[in-house]
Amino acid sequence: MPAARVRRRRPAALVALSLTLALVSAAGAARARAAPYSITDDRGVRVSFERAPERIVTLLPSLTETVCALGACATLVGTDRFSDWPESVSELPKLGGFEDVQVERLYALEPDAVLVATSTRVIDRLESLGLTVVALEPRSLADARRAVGVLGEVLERSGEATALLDRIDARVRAAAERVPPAWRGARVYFEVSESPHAAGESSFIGELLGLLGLDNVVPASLGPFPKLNPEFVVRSDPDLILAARRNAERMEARPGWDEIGALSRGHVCGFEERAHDVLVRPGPRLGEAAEVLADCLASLPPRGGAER
Amino acid sequence: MLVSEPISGAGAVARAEPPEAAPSRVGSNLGFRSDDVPLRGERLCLKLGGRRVVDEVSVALREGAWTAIVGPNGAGKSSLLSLLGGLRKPNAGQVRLRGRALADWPAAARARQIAWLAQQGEAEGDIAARDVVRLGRLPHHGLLGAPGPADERIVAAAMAETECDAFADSRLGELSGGERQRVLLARALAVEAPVLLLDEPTAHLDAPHQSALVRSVTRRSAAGAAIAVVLHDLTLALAADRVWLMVAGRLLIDTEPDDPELHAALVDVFDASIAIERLERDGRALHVVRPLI
Amino acid sequence: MKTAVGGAAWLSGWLALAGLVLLGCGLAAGSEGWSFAWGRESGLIGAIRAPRSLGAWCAGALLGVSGALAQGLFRNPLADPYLLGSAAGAGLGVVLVIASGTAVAGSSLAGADWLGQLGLTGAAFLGALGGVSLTLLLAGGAARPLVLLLGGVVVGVLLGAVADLLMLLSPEALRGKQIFLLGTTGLLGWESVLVLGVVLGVTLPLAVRFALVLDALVLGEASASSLGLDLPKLRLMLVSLMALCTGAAVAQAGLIAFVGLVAPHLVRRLVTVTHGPLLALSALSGGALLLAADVIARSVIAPQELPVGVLTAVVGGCYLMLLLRRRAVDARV
Repeated sequence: MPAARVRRRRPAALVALSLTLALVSAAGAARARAAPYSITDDRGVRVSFERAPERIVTLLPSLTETVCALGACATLVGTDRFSDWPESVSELPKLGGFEDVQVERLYALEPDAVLVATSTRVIDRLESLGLTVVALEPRSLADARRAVGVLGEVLERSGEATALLDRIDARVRAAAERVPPAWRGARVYFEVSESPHAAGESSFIGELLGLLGLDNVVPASLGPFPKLNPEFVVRSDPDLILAARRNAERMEARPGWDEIGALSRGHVCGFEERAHDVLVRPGPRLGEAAEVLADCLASLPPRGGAER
Repeated sequence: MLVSEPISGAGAVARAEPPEAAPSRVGSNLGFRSDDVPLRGERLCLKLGGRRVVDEVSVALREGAWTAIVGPNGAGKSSLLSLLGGLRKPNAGQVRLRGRALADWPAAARARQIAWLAQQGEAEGDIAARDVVRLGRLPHHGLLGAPGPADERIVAAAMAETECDAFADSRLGELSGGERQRVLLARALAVEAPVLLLDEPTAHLDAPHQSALVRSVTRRSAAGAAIAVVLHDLTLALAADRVWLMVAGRLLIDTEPDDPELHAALVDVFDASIAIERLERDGRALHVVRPLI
Repeated sequence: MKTAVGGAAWLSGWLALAGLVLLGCGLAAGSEGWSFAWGRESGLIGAIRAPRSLGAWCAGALLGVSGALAQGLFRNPLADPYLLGSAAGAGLGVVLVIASGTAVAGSSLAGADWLGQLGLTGAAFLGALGGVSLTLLLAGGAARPLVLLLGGVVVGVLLGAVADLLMLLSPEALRGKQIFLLGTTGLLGWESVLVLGVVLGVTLPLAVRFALVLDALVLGEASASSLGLDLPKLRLMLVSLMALCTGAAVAQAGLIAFVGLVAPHLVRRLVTVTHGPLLALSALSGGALLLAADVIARSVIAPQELPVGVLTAVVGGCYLMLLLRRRAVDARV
C-alpha cells in the first residue's frame, strides 16, 4: 500500500488537458496526511513518508546500487533491466528499460516507493496510479552525493548514508594517492560511446578524473557529454585515452587517429564491461570507480618524453 | 476562309453580341431583370500560362434552346464553359446570371441556377452510383441537410433518364467509362437547374446513349432550360438549336445550325477533312457530317 | 467483395461486437499472461488494464477517423493521418521537452522551464497541431490540395531536421524519441481515456456532419465547387479536425503506424458507403485494430511487451502487400 500522497503543481496547457486535470485534481485532491518526515526529490517535489518504505522498485541502476549500499537491499522488489549490482539484484523482476516500463507488473508488485530518473515519462502514469514516486537523477558528483543523502533520509538510514559518503571519500583519496606522480596533470580523453561522445570536464566522470589529479581535453564549456568532431581529439593529442575495451581496440583504425601518440605508446585504458559500468554510473561505487582508474594508471607503461 | 462580315440570310448571324444591343436596363432591387437571358458572357478573356485561351468572347444562352459549342482541340471551349459556370474568374469581361454579375451571386444560389458537368477523368471514388447522383440535390438541401422524398424522386428520374438503374448500387470506380459518364450526367441533370453546362457529355458513350443524351437535352430545353454543350461530334452538334464555333480562343460564328456560312466555316476550320451533307427525313432537315477519308 | 449499400449497419454491429470482445481480452491480458480471475485482480483491472484497453480503442478510433478524413480530402487511398506534418511536429515537440530537461552543450534551451512543465503529452499534442499549422501557412490555406501535400512534405523534412539536430546534441532525446516513434499503449491511464474520449466525441460528429464535402470531392474540384461549396474553407475545417484527432492520438500513444491507413480500407473492402458512415465505421475499425494490436503486444511474450507500433507496422505492411497483389491480379482498374 502506498504510504504517502504527493502534492504537485500541474500546468494548464490546453483546454482539454485543463479540463482533464481539473477533474482529476478534484477527484484526488486529498491533502497530504500529517507525516513524520518528507524529502524533496530532484523535481523539487516534496514526498512524504509515514515510515521507511519496505517494498521498493528502482528504475535506475545507480539508485539500485545506492539502496543496496545503504544496506536496504532486502527492501527491493523490482528493478529495471540494466541494474546488475550487486549480484542478488539479478534475481529480482526486471521491469523494462528507461522508456518501456511494464506498468502493470510494477503495480502488481505493490511497492510503497518507486525510485526513478527525473527524465522518465512514466512518472505521471505511476503517480496517477497512486504510487509514491521519488525522482532522482544524479549527473554530477554533487548530484550523486545528494542522491545518497536523500535516499538515506527516505530509508531512515541517514547514519549509513553519511558513513557511505565518508567511505567513498576515503577511497577516492586513497586512489588519488595511488596515481603515479608522472601521471599527475596529464590530459586525458574519456570516451563514453563511439560517436564519439566524450565525458567532459563538467561531467561526473570528468569530476572524478579531476579528483585524481587528471586534466580533461574536453573543457567544461562544451558541456558534460558532447558529441565531438574526431579531428578535435586528434588535434588535442591527449596523453591518455580511457574507453571501453572494444572501442579502444578499434581506435587506431579511425582515420587520422594513428597520429595520436597515446595510442602508439600504449597509454590507453580499455575497460571491460563490468569496470566500464562502474565508471559510468554516478552511484555509491564512485570509490570503486576511482580505484579502477588508479589501477589502470598504475599499470600503464611509464610516461616519458617532453611535456606538451 | 474565315467569314468576318455579317451576312443577312437564313437565321441571324452574330459574331459578337455587344452589350448595347440588349434592351436598356431597368434597375431593380435585386439587380436582375426577368426579361434578360439566363446566362450571358460579355467580352470574356482568359489567360492561362501566358496564352489567351478565351479571347473577347461575348455570348448569351437563351431559355428554351440548347447550344452546341464546337471547334478544334485547344479552341477554348471548355475554358469558356468554365467561365460561364463561374468556375474560373475571367481576366477581363463579365458573366451575368439573370442580369446580375455572377460574382455577386452567393455560391449556394448560383449552384441552384447552374448545373455543370465536367469533362470526365476527374471523378473517381468508392461511393455508390446512386449516392453520386444524390449529390446533384446538394445545392437544394444544403451541406448540412439531407435529400428528402422529393429529392429521391428527382434522383430516380434522372437515373432512369440516363439509364443507370442497373448499376445504381455499384461503386463509381467499378463502372466502365460509359456507365460512369451516365452516372455523372444523371448527377448534373438531378440539379434541375435552369442553366445546364455540359462539357463533352458524350465521351465514352455508345451511339444509343449519345442519341439518348441529345433527346434528353432537347426535351429539357423545350421545357425551358438554357443549355450549352461542348461537343466533338459535329453531327450531334448540328442537331442543336444554336451552334457556336470557336477557334483559338475566339468565337468565330454564333448561328443556327443550318446556316451555310457555318458549314463553310466548319469545313475550313477542320482543314477540309469533313463534308456536311443535308438529309431530308420526315419533312425535317438533318445535317450529317461525314469525314473525308 | 461485398458491395451492399446500406451494409453500414451490419458492419457497425460486427465492429462494435469485435470491440467488446477485444475489450474483454484486454481485461484478461495481464503481465503474467492470460488470467480470468477478475475478482481477485480487480485492482489491476480497474487501474491498469481497463484504461489501457479503452485508451487503445479510443486512440485507434481517432486514427481511423483521421485516416478516413485524409483519404477523402486528398482522394488518395494511400493517405494517412501523418501527411501534413503532424508526425514531424509531434516528434519535435517530444525532443524539445526531453532535450530541455538536460543541459545541451553547456547551456539549457531558452525557456526550458515551461517546456518541462508542458510534459511530453502536451508537447506532442501542440507539436502536431503546430506542424499542421505550419503546413497550412506554407501552402497559403487549404485551397489547393496538391500544394498542401507538398507543404506537408516540406514541413515534415524541415521539422525532422531540427529534431535530428537536437537529438545530436542530446542523446537522451534520441532515446526518448525512438521509443516515442514506436508507439506505446502502456502509459494510458484514465486521464488519457478522458482526453481521447472527449476529442473523439467532439470531432467525430462534426466530421460526419460535414462528410458530404468529401462525397462531393469525389466528383472533382470543379464539380464540387459548382455545387456551391466553399472548398477552401471547408477543407480547412476538415484539416483542422484531422489535426486534432491525430494530435490527441499521437500525444497519448506515440506514432503508431498504419492504423489510420488500414482502418478505412478495411471498411471500404466490406461495404459501399458514403463518407458519413465511412468515418464512423473507420472509427470502429480503427479502435478494434489498435486494441487487437495492444492485446497481442501484451500477451505474446508476457511479461515482456512488444512495441505496439512494430506490430501494427508488420500487420499493416502485410495487408498492403496483399492489396497490391490483388490489384495487380485484378484486370479491372
